[in-house]
Amino acid sequence: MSAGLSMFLSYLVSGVIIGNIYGLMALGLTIILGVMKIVNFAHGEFYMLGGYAAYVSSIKLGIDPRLSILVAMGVVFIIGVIVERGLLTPLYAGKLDRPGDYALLMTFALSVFLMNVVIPIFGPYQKSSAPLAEGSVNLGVVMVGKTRLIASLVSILLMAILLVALKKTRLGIALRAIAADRDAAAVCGIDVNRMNPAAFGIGTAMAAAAGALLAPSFLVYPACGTIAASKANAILVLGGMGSTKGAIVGALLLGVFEALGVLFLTPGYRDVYGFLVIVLVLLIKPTGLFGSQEFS
Amino acid sequence: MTKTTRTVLMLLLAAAVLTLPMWAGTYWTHIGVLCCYYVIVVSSWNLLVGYAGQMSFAQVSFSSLGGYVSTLTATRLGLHPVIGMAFGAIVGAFVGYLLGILCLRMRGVYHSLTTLAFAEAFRTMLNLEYKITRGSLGLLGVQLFPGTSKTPYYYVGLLLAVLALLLLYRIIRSPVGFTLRAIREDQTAASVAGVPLARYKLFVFALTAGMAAFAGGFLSHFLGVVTPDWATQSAMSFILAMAIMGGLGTFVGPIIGAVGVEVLVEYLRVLGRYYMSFFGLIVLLMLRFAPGGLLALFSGFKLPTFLRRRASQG
Amino acid sequence: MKCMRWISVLLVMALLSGVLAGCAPKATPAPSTSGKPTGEPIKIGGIGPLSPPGTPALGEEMMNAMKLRIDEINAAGGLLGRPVELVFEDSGGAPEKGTSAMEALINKHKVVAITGEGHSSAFLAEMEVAKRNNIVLLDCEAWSDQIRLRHYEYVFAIPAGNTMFNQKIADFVQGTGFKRPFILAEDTDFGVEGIQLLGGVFKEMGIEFGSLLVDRTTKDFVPFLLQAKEFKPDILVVNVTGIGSYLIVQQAKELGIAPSADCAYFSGVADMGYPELWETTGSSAVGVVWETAIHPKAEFTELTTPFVEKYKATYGRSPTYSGLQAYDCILVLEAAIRLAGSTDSAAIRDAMEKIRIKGTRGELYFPTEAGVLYHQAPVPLLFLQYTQDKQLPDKCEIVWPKDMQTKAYTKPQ
Repeated sequence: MSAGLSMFLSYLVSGVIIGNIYGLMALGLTIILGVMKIVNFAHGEFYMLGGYAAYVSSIKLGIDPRLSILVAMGVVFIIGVIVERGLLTPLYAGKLDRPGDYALLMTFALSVFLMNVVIPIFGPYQKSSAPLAEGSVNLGVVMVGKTRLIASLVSILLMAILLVALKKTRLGIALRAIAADRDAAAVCGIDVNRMNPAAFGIGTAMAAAAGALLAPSFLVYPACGTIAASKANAILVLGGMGSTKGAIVGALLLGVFEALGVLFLTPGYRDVYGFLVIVLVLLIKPTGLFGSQEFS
Repeated sequence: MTKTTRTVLMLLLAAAVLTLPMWAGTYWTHIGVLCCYYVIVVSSWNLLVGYAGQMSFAQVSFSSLGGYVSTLTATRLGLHPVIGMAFGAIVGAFVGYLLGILCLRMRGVYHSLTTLAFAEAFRTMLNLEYKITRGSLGLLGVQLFPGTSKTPYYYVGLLLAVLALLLLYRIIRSPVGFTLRAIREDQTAASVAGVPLARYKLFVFALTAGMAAFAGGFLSHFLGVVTPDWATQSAMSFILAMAIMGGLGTFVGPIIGAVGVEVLVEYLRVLGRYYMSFFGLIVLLMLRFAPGGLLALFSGFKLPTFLRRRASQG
Repeated sequence: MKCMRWISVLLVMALLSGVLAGCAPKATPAPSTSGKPTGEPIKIGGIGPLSPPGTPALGEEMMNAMKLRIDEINAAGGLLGRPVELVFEDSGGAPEKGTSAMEALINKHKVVAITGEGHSSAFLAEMEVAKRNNIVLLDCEAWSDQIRLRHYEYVFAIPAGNTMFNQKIADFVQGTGFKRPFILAEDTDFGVEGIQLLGGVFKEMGIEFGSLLVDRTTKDFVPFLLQAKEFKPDILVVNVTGIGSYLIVQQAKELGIAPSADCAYFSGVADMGYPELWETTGSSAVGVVWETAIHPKAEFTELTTPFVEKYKATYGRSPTYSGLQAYDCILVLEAAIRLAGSTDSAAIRDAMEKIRIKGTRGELYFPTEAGVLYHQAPVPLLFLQYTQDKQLPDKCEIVWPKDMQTKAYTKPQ
């Protein structure tokens, strides 16, 4: 195996392991987009809140680190529902001229608020939640910390559970129905407006799970959601907006693009390749790689 | 209030603004210069978003681009800062035009995501191209005037702001302004009515980017430094807050917003680490309960603004 | 146009508040109480990063240490018979915000001298403001050689300059017998200058080395570390500040690169001395070598221990050398103002060049010979190694310089 290829594989493997977790975050973004037709610009900050919740739960309260991930999801789900009820209801009240732009401005402002509100609460120092395991595993091409590997596997599991739940449960079917056609779903007797907080809560809980899973590896600090959010956005566009399967494929693709970029261009720009990909994909296919606006 | 009192008040205000360096002291003159910068950047963003309906999160990218180009022109080529500012504005307008071309194909959310992606990519580039930009350290530049006095900067800033506002006012009141609003209200209808969408959109993208870049160039020669922090999302959130608080989609709103927020922030600084979260909270509450901004709030929502319908319609 | 009325009202209100702020009366002298200094306080300006993108932990420590000395001065009768007040402004570690903070200190608060800052980038911009206004600015923790090489009359430096610092790293690397160092440095003046200077010294010593500039805002340093690994280094020299400094320790350990039996890990930043180290890196930092200027086994002067104890008692955590430097900064300004006998800027400046006092890290004075040591106070530097999990900095072994060594460098398992 040539040196270049082995370098590429080691970038790829380490990239995809982390990429999965961003994929989980993108899945949350997709659900919110599908049901509420808005892009949540504060998604990265829910990721950050998830990280802090995992920190408080596992370090301050001494709860098992694996359980802490569920705690983080639960806490952020509640915060998500409160945010939706408190700030996003004007979207459907019909008093606004441009609900789409309102949502963008609101979530953008929310992201700045959340990023700053944690500074007085948790201080500017970075925190870490308890590691999921000690030590590293040799995967042949690259050594990977066990915590990262477990986090990646857990995120795959969570994605699988979510996809099955969307297919099989009553709530999942209702969410999909609204995503496909809001008015038709309402006609069929689904309480459309009650589904908004559910979608927003579930979506933000996914971001929180990603934040909690990555907290031991990448640490938690007020601005830690920015990079995560930009990756989730890139995955969202790559996978085609509103397509749940696309979110997963998008995560893998982003991992490949980043590894190629690091190898042939420079590692410094790695966090930007996602953006270049967004622009390229949108230029070639303005509706995203997996074209349809469907929510399947 | 009668017409006379209004005129008297306006004259008083004009006199106060014109004589500010004489009675307010160095520090508030400094703030006054920053206000001029913000008035230009926010008002031009308002034309792009509030009037033409082209949501963009890249306005601060253009002002920092102007700052960098202008500073580099002055330091590397040794040209006068004024030439640098003009050159920065041209480059800014050109890059704005390119971003406009990119955005022509996108609708709605894709459009805003592209501008956000552009802004983040640009900021990263500023950080990483160390040899040109000195990375996160920022680029030290050239002062426009010798000495420590802020008074000349204030008057130049004021002049630039007034010129920029006059230009924007003329555009808004001209047929071009009406067309832009038509595009904002219903793009398809405007297109059907024979409006060349692409030409208008590119025009407004290039113009507003150029104006922001010019203001950025001026600021860089006032502060003597330009950094990637200018191009961050938190910097963008200030522009956003100013426009929203004043009233997005009105002419006067963003001007009041820019000055009001800049002055407010100076007072909020005493809150230390709480200040940004307090500020964020104000913006959230404004957006939620008075999306039309202060202007709409005080006029009893009779004024049509970007987000809020006329009360009679709503 | 009913709204016009409201606009007018608003504008007038804004105007009034501006007038009030502009013409606010000067602070009234504190009422005299027996034993306390009276009169209008002498204001000393502090500046430093209290918010990102700077390192807030650093700014807070500086501010805390400065306050300690200010309180001591006031308790002991003040300065020139007047009370002293510290006005600390946040620079965010960024040039633009830093210049605004300087403007506020000079023009709004009318301070007599300024000290602080921990980021060279910000300091380089701030010193321009100091120069324009002819006000003494004392560097507390910014290392760039550019600061010293500009030879500004009003600018003085307490911390080690980059040249001095890198020469010491090279001595340590060579003296401990390492053959293949690899430098990872952040994309700031501190990092970039470091690669040039350290690389230059390594070349002179005939040591082959590799280097890479990293983006300090990223979170996943794995690609950078994998590139470093290709070089097969026997010591990793990491000059990255802030959160990145912890992430790199953790990720280098996970990848099995360093600290390991084959490769040592040296970190050139103060962050390694913070209590957050173990909290955020688990046991990855065992074996890490880092540099500091504070250690109980190497007390510098009789001021060192009392300061450290007082800091611990007041703030509940140990100070790093940044705290000592900040305390020393106030000591220096205090001595200069006393010697000058006035708060006149030029008089303070002249006094700065004449003073020779004892600080917490040794004798402090400011030479005037041109070069990287212009206005640079002498600085002691120690290289410590963490040899156990959760070890406190006080319990670390001193591995360099040779004459202060408590134990030679030990290879981690």
